[in-house]
Formats: sequence, C-alpha cells, structure tokens
Amino acid sequence: MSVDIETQASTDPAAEDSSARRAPAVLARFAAPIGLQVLAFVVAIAVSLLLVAALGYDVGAVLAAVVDGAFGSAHAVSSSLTQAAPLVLTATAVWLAYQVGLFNVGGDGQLQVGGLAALVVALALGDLPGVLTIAVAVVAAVLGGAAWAAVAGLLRAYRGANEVISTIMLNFVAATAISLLIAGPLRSPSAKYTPRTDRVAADAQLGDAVPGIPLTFLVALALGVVTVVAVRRTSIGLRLRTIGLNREAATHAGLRVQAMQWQAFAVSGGLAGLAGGLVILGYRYYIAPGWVPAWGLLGIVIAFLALESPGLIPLWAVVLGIIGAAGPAIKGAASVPDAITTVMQGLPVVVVFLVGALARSGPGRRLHAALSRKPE
Amino acid sequence: MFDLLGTAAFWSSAITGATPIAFAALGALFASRSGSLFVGVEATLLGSAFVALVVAVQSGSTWLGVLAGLLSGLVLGLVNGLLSMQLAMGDVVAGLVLQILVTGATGLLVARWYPNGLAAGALQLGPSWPSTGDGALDVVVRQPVLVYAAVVVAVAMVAFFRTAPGLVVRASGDSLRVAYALRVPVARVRYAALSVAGAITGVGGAFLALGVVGVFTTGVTSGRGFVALACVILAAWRPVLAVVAALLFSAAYTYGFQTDDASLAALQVLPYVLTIVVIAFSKAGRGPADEGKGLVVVGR
Repeated sequence: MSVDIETQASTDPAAEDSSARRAPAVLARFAAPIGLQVLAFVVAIAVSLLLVAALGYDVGAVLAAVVDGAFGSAHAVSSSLTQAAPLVLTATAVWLAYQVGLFNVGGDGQLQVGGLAALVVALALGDLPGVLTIAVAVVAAVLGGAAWAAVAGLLRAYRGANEVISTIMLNFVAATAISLLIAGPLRSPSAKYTPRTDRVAADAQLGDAVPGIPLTFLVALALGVVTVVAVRRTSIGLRLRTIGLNREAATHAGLRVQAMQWQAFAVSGGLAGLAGGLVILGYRYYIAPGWVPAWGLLGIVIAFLALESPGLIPLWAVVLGIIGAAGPAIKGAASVPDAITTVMQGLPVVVVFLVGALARSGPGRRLHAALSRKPE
Repeated sequence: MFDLLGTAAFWSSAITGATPIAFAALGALFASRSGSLFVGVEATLLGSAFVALVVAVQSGSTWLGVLAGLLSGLVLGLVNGLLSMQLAMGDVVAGLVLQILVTGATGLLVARWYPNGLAAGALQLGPSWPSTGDGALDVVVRQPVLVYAAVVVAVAMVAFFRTAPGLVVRASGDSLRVAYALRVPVARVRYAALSVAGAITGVGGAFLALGVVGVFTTGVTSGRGFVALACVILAAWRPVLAVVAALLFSAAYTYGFQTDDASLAALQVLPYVLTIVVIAFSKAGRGPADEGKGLVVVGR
C-alpha cells in the first residue's frame, strides 16, 4: 500500500519542480518490483521443469513447445493473447474490489454469466448487422457480470454477508444454471450427444485487429488501464482507496461507504462479465460443458502478484496466457501431460510471497531489499 | 412429484454421497472454530483422494488407502497453514493457490503413472456385513463403516470443544485479543487445528475416491470442498448439524441428478442459494468473530 502514499506525495511542491530528477525515480519504481517478479517467473519455470525432468520427460521438448506456442507464428501469438484477454479483466476485477477492501472470488461465476448474456443477446439479434450485435452483446455481458456481482456486493454492504462465501456460492449457482440451460432451453438442435448452444453468427465474431493481436486483448487491455488509472488518479478512485485503507476513517470523512463498496463490487463484476462476453465473441462462439477454464481463479493469482504495482497485471496475464495456450503443444508435440501448465501458473505467486516471508524473517532481508527497493 | 424420496436407492446414494462432504465440512468447521477459513479444503479433498487411491491400488488394501488419505490430508492442511500464516497469503489466497497447485500436480502425476486411468476396481469401500433383507433398514444400518465414522467424529468434536484444549481452539477463533491475553499461542493452535482439519478432510477424500466415485480425475471433487464450507454455515458451526447439512446438500444434488423432471433438476442450486440467504439474513450465519483475519489484532 506504500505506493499509494507515493502518488499522493507528488503534490509536494519540492517533488514537482525536478522533472529531471523524477525520471530515474520513475524507472526505479517500475524496475524494482519487476526484479522480484522476474525471479518469481524464473523460479516457477525452473521448479516446473525439474518436476518434468524428475518424472522422466524431455525438458527440452516442453520448453520448445512453450516457446513455439508463444512466438512460433502469428497464430500462436494470437492464441496466447486470446487467453491473456480474460485474465487481464478478471485480475483487474479482483484488484478493483480489493481497493475497497473486498475480495471478489466470484470471477468465474461473473465471467460465465457475462458470457451467457452475450451469447443469448448475440443469438437473439442474429439478423442485425454484426457491429451492432457485438455492441449490444458486450453491454449485455458487462451488465450480466455486474448484476451477478451486485448480489454479493449488496449483501456485503448492507447485510455484512462475507463476500468470499457468497461469491463462491454464486459461482456454483452460475455453473449449475448454465449447465441446465445448455442441456435444456438453449440446447442447439444440431447438438448430437454433448449438449451445446448455437454458434454466434460469423459477422458478430471478433477476430484479430492486426495478425497476431486479437481485438479482445486490446479491449481488455484498454479497460484494464482505464480502471487502474481511474482508481489511482481520480477523486472517485481516491475515495475508493480511502474506504479500502480505513473504512472507519472513510465513514467519518462523510463517504457513502456502503454504496461505494457495492457499486465498486458491481463494476468489478462487470469487468469479469466482459471477459466472458469477449470469450464468447472472440474465442468460443458457443457454450458447451467445460467452455472456460478457471480464468477467474487465475485472475486472483495475478491480482495478488500485481497488488502493489497493477501495471504488472497485463504482463502476468500475457505470461500465464502463453503458458495456458501452450497446453495443447505440450501435450501433443512434447507428449507431456498439460497439467504441468497449471503447476507453472500457480507457482509464481508462491515465490513472491516466499520472498516476502524470507525478508521479514531476517536472513533474506538483504536479498529482498535488493530486489524490491523503493525510490526515496 | 417427489416419488424418488420414497426409494431406498435414492437415500442410499444420498448418504454415501454426503459422507465425503460431511468429513470435509467437519474439517472446515474445526479449522474455522480455531480462526482459519479453510478455503484449501477443496484442494485437501482432491489431494487426499488421489493419494488414497494410489496407495490403495499399489498396496491392494483399501484401509491402507484410507490411512494414506488421512496422512496426506494432514500434510495438506499444514501446507495450507504455512501458505496462509508463514507466507502471509491470508486464508483465501492460500486456499486457492493450494487448489491450483494440487490440481496441477495430481493431474500431472495421474497422467504419468496411470495413462489408462486410475480406478479403484474391486478395492471399493462397501458395506462390510450382509444384508438384513429389509431394503429400508439396510439404508440405515448397512452403510460403509466410514459413514458412521463421520457421525462419530462429529460427536467427538462436540465433546472436544467442551474440554480445556477445545476451549483454547475456540478462543483462537472467537477473539484473538482474549486468546493473546491468556497467552494462547494462536499461530500454533491454528497450525494444529488445520492439521487435524486436513486429516479429517483426508478421510473424506479417501472415501470419495474409494467409496463414492471409484476413479480419479482432477475434476473428481467438483466443488465438494466449497459445498462443505457452505455446510459449516448452514449448520451454524455445530458439528452434528454439519453432517445433517451435508446430507441435505447431497440429497438435493442426488435428486436433481436422478429426476427426469427438468424443472426439478434446478433443485441442485437450492443449497447454494440457501447458504447465501443464511449468511445474509440470519444471526446463525455469523461465524467465529476472528475467523480469517490473520494473526494480528486490528481495531479497538
């Protein structure tokens, strides 16, 4: 949280005048956390590869599959970024809710409801021009996710119901409801054995903006940046952070704490819902069992990797997206179980917290100081 | 409309289905009373189901499998505590990170060691005595031993909470301030409670693998650990009621699964909705005051 104080300190006149002196400070501010994150990434990959080697697999083949899957072709880059897009949004959603002191564990449910809303709208508006369908479907996805999160947000703000529990339960309600819907009313007549819905019309599908860069990733990135800037640089954002840092002080300062908490939580859900909408319009095009991996869960991991420096959210989203997208290549070309990608995705956050714990415990204090020194 | 409720087959599968949830709920409840929100219960259930099945298949003994499930659950509960307290992740992040790691690790190992699938085959925990000849009576008295063990654990837990060590566990969850004032080593109590919680959950994982599903995939728990967290709330943190709540969840799920009536399939979401209603609108939905708040006293 110390970064928050730094941004406020820039109103200090002494700091204003020396823009020349600020440049290295800005650099250091971004370089310092990155040192720790690079360490986390390297250790996570190293441990995973050791595991791969210990199980008697070909480490080189796994590495080749990841590198090839990530940079091998425009299509490979595109599929990695396609996986990164929802991660940017679910991670930003968790980060945003955390700013008002709430924990949004419901990313998975909100994403699924958003996807469902986008799909239903896109199917209903099939006759309209594609652009219009996309616009309405995206709005529906945001509203769906926001409404789903608002249930937990309202109950938390006005009834004190633990949002961790309620969002976990809402995840199950969403998943169960969707599986019943695709087996029943939304089931496509052409689905033979496995139930699935109809496809979104071709002109309402989102493709690549330029070869290798999917539109969905650009949209997600833009919204992630807008959210973080709004929280960090606007007066509403300052109010939100005040609530998160000290709820009591915020109440005494006259902020409408309860209203702002649930509204921020709804916006958080809207971001996750948008992730679902983009997945439908730009990646899956229909809903079938297992249509989304646990992107909400990974969003939580990313948000906690980037808690102090939200600029890292897109970086980690791309890294975990690359690993996730390499799954088929790891399984196919390298003949290694793709579950290794899950291990790779889960380890970095452990390393970051481990370094933090070592720093507190003494022996590793110097290492941590070197890796995450803050500018004066 | 509800004719399934009269059949012995329905209740039999509802009871076996409830047992892993009941063990996990008892584990989560124990951790909760000591002040840890055991989000890693899902990961523990999954990991112990895997270890139990592997050991059972390799040794040819179901009971060695159950023991292995218990021990691996204990270890996972302890790891959950280390992530949460030593690494200061907090209960929620620790539990979710553990879930990702256990899902990945078990998925990797099962694919490496058992490319054709990991199945219990004949090594299933079934009833260990002959039928009474009365189908309805059989549902009650002819369940696998571990089903009754869940009830025994619940009763034992009620008794334990009334002893002096039980009071120490409860104090760690209800008031950090008071616990510290009484020189209770709260962190150690929570580690111990998480280990016990993990061990209890581990038995549930073993029963899930060896008594309910009979095969292992990384999706085998399908959220039963989180359902267990809901049971703790519905039961207002009372062990015996947690077992009853597990039966309610299992019955609702089994009914939704077995019924031909599509509209009644929606019954599957009822327990989740009920849990939300309880935490929002009932005083019973308030757990131990200092649950999930770390080891530092904050506020007044």
